[in-house]
Amino acid sequence: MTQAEATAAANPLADRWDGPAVDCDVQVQVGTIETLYPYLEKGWVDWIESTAFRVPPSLAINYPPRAGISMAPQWIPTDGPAAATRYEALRDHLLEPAGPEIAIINPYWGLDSLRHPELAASLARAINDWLIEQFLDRDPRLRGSVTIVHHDPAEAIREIERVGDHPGFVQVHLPVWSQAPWGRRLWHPLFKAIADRGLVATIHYGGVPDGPPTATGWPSYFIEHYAAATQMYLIQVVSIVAEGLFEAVPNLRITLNDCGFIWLPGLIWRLDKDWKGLRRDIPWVQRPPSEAIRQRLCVTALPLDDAPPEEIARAIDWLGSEAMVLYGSGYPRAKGEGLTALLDGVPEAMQSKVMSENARRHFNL
Amino acid sequence: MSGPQPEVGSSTRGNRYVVARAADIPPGERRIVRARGRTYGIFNLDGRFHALLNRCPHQGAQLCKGPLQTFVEADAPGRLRFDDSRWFLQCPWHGWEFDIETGQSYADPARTRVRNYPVDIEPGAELAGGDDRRGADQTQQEPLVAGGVHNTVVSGRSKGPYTAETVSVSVEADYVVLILPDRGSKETPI
Repeated sequence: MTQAEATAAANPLADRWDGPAVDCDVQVQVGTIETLYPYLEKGWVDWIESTAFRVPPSLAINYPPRAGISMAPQWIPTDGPAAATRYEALRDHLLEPAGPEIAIINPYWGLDSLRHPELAASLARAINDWLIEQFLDRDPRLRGSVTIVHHDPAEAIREIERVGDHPGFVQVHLPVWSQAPWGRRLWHPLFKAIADRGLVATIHYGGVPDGPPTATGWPSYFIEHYAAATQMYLIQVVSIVAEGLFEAVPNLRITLNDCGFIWLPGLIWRLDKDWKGLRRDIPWVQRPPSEAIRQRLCVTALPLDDAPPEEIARAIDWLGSEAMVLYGSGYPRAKGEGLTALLDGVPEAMQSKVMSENARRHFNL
Repeated sequence: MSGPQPEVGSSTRGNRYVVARAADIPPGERRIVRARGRTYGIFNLDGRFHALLNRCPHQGAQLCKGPLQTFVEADAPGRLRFDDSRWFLQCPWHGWEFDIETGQSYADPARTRVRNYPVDIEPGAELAGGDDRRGADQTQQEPLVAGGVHNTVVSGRSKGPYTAETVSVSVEADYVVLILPDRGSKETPI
């Protein structure tokens, strides 16, 4: 398939939703390291050339380039390294015709797996500057995610301070496979820096291979890593609640991206129940955990679990809030069918909330 | 709390039940007593006596056999602050905590229900004679003993749906007197 043929493919909203939409989960691709050369100091370009560094290892682990799981075939051009490496491709695939009013893009490139702190920080700065110049400043429909390297929270805060006030940025991208659970106190200053700029902390699939991606050890097959990713999100939510992150950073808002949501109601009920008996363990949590979760955490609905529409509706009801579920296409991983299943399950009166209103409130758009 | 406790009731006067010698329940200790067909926990908290119905309003466990925990709060993550002048009684089944002075639980504020009972104190000399006015005066002089001292949100913590049923208790000289509601008044059904 050529770039032109890929362009002809319908955007994910086509024939599925013609109301206002905010797409909260769009990935753009750095593609090759050369993309970042104009945004790096010459010394780093020389360093990269001399070491033959090409790509951070965790990109290959979480998003194998050109693999079907990373990019839907219809979006992969034959004349480029990956889908969505250029603004024009993103515009033609996603934004036109009749695309979302706003698309929130993240350029996840797996920097979490780089051990060289100065190189990783330089690449994060380069990715942010590339995203601003090549995407955010070129189309007012685009909003972006700040790329940081969380191994060094102080450096991550400096980068948020450097670019976080750019009007195009609405969130900071955090990997679900983090070096330590996101509720831990060492991250609290990072979350404060995020919230103080009115940004949202968005936890997304991907992250560091420092430890196994399951709580019980290394799986054998990719499907185990992929299907069981939910448990990493679950652990993050529990950590965020128990460590008091919501109390420590009262204006913090959090998004869970790319993880579905049917698992979440059960966890909310479990947390409320266990909090009643174990409250004195975490006395800074003075309200049932469900309250803060429902008020301050949103989750993109796709990819949806393969449940019948009436059960999708039931799961949304179980969440206990109509404000938590967001639309995110998952472009370029997804082709769009997930949206059909989602809209089949979301009650009609709630559809505009899921497709647009919840995101506008959550991200203050 | 070893062995079955005898039914108390031989020394009743109206709704006042003499349930123990005060000296038998030293500070920090408790005794489970039975009166009017139900069991109660009598607690001596540093000389202040409190009584709770021995039944967790959650699922009916013998609440008063649970551990007493020092009150703990935190105004920020990790900033624990213990207050060893106050206690939570923790249900042995699910760990729910109840403020022992008010019976108030601190979970699930959506269904909060607060119930307090007045506490009265009379000296032992009144056991035989009876002088209700004296008791009322004493209550005013001993506000710490009165129920409802902590009958508001404690440090921002939300009150829960359940209230362990507290009942009045007073020390009459060397005796602990459990004061139950008048017969016919509304009590939590068992």
